[in-house]
Amino acid sequence: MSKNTYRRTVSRLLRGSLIVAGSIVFGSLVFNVAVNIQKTKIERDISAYLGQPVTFRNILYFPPHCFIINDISFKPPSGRGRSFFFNRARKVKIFFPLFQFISGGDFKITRIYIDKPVITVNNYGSFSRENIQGRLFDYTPEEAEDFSVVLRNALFISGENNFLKIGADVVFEKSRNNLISSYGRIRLGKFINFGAGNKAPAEDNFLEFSFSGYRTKNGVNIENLELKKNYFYAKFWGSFQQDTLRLNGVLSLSNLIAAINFPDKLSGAIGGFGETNMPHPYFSSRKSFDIFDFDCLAKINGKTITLENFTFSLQGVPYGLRGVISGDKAYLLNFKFSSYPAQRYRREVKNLNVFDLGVLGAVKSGKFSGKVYYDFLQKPDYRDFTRLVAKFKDLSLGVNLLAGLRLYFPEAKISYKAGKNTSRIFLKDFMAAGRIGAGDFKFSSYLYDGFLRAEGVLDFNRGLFLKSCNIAVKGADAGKLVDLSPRFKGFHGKCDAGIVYNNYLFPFLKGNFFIQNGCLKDVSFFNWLSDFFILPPLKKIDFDRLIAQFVIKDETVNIEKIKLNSPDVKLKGSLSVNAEGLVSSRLSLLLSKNILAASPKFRPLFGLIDKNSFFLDFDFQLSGSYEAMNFKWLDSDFKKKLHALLPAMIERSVEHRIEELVAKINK
Amino acid sequence: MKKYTLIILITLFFNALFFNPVFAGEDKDLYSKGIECSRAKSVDFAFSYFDLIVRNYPDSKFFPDALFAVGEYYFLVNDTGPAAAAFNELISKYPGSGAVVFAFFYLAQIAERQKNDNLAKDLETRIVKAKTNFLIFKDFKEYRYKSALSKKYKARYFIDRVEIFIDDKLGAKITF
Repeated sequence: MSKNTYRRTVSRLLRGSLIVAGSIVFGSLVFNVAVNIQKTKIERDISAYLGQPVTFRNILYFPPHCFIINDISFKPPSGRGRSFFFNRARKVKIFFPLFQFISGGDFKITRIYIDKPVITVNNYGSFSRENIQGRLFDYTPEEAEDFSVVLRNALFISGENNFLKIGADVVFEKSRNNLISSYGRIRLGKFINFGAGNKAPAEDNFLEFSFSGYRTKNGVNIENLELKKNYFYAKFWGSFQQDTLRLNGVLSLSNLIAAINFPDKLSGAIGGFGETNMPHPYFSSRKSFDIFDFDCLAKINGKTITLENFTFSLQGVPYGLRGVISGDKAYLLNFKFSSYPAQRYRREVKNLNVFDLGVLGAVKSGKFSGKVYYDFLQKPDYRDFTRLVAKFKDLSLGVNLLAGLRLYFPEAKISYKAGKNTSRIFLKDFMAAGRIGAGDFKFSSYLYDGFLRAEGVLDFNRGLFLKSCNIAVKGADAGKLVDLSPRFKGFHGKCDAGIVYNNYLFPFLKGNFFIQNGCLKDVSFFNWLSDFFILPPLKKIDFDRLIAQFVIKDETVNIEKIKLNSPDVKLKGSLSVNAEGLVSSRLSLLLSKNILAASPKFRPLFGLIDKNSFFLDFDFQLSGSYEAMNFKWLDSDFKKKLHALLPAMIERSVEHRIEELVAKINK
Repeated sequence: MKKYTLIILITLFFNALFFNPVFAGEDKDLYSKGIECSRAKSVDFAFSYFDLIVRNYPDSKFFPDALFAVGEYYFLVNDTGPAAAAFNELISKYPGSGAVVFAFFYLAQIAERQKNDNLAKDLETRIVKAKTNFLIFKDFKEYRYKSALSKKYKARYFIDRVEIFIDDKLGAKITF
């Protein structure tokens, strides 16, 4: 071929190509203009097809096999029957095989790309069944086309006021032999605003996932589902047939670090807060967690997800979870989380770490209202347990693996029942933050017109148990502490306390409390002393300072170094209550001559009191049941002198009279 | 043991034969005869009379003492099941009886024999809680009870311990 001939051929080809390209561009332009002239009609047709009103900015054909719809928006469909609906998307690209369309007139979509879609999900059960088992991955004959959907910067929203938001970049693929796969990343959760310092690193919120499996006539077999990020890895396998989900797998959290500081409102140590000298909690060096033996059987039926059996072991401790979540706008919850589920009813030995944690209530607009209980099932007899119950209103919870956990509730009633005794506490404006990486937490709350702050450490070596916790109380109204323990009955004033909990080697609670410028009013012990000796000032004792230290270990309570100071009354001593509820106490009461002078019974006895003493010393020993204590007046100079003066008959009469008085008070 | 069981069976047989149906006023006679037998050291026959009262006179004023005596007798012959039943009935029906503290004592003894330490401890706690005492000038308060089987019981409540005596012999010392 000569040079000229070659040039002519190339030139013809170029011209032909340009004509074809120009024709395609022109045809496309004409088509696009014609389509957009008919935009209203197309919107109407698509609306009719989808069953919800649809509008878009424009629709463009990009040769050879792609349509692009820009700024499409959907109005919510009428009726509430839909499991989900699209709100809007910035761009939708629809791909189809052109040759198949031209040759057979068969328009089939093979790939959909949606940019920034916002999707409202009303019902996750139906959504998963309709879309995972239905539309996207429906079981098809083997000759069917490959099909894929890409969601870029998608946002799934659900719940009342759209409180639950899940961001996602997702690719779904299905090949003609019913193999399915999906991969991408999702972002979960939002944090409660406690001020600065509480935000998790944005990028860290993403969780990568990949999925592969195959469709069967009744559902999907899950061959591999992996979730991962740099410090988290999980792998599952199982099936989702009809409405039954079965999953087995393993999870691992490793090299977790506390990525953030505590929120401003909770930062700062509590040392020096209140009159306490508390050791700083020992920080656990453990930052990795392994979950093995993950075994889950769940039924997903419409708006109800039932966890029939969910067991796993964390750090070698077995746990079980059972329960139901139901609803669409508001979710009803009923769950029980148990440690050592197999040890529930038959145990030979005491296991301090056996517990049940129950949750009953509803989540509405992202806030939980209901009851949470924690049963301490430490004793071999599972019927004999201690129960902590918390009734919450509008509890907000935010969880992030790296940043940790945030919790807030405006108020909660908490009760603690051990044996026949029930203690109650009312918390207001409670906020807590925990760092999974460091294994520590802090919380604060208003408590009976005062304030409470605490910090603690969890023991991850043996599961999910509290290792130590320091609590400081400032300015609580002692008069209201009677809810906490009936032993506070009659105490008034502003109470400060420092409390330390530690469970190494054995659990114990110790601390101190003091009340300043308060009073004791209608306290049984002083009441009968007052009635017997006719000493009215003892019915209400104003004091400068009341202080005591306490240690609660196993089932024993020791209150030591009790000191009460007032101008006319001084009290010091100790009191302990053992596991059987028996009291052992020694108290020393000093009454001033001023106060004794008010008693017509004591005035004649003034001669027995040492002239140089301003106070008269009464030493007592108490024992027996707390509700009806034995009482012994211990020896003193005054008692000896009085004893020497009294005939035996009078002594018996005195004791009889006291018994009558106390019996009357106890009634 | 076999001897006692035989006596009990013979007694029950004759009771059934001659003493039923029962008549009003007989409880007092039966109780008196029981007391006579126990004073004469015929404990087995005394038991028979008291057992008749327990079986036939539930409303008798002698019932609590007779019931305690029945429990005592069974405990004596080491038949702990019926003994525990009698003492438990006494405690539940007559919590104000002077014999209650000693019924607890016997129940604690039975629990110890059965190696039930938790129950024994619990019963000892109930002995402690059974009385509230105010010791102004004395070191202890004493509670006495003489059973229908002529045993003398004493419980001394100190501020930090209880001592139980049976016929002036220390039977138990419970500290708290």
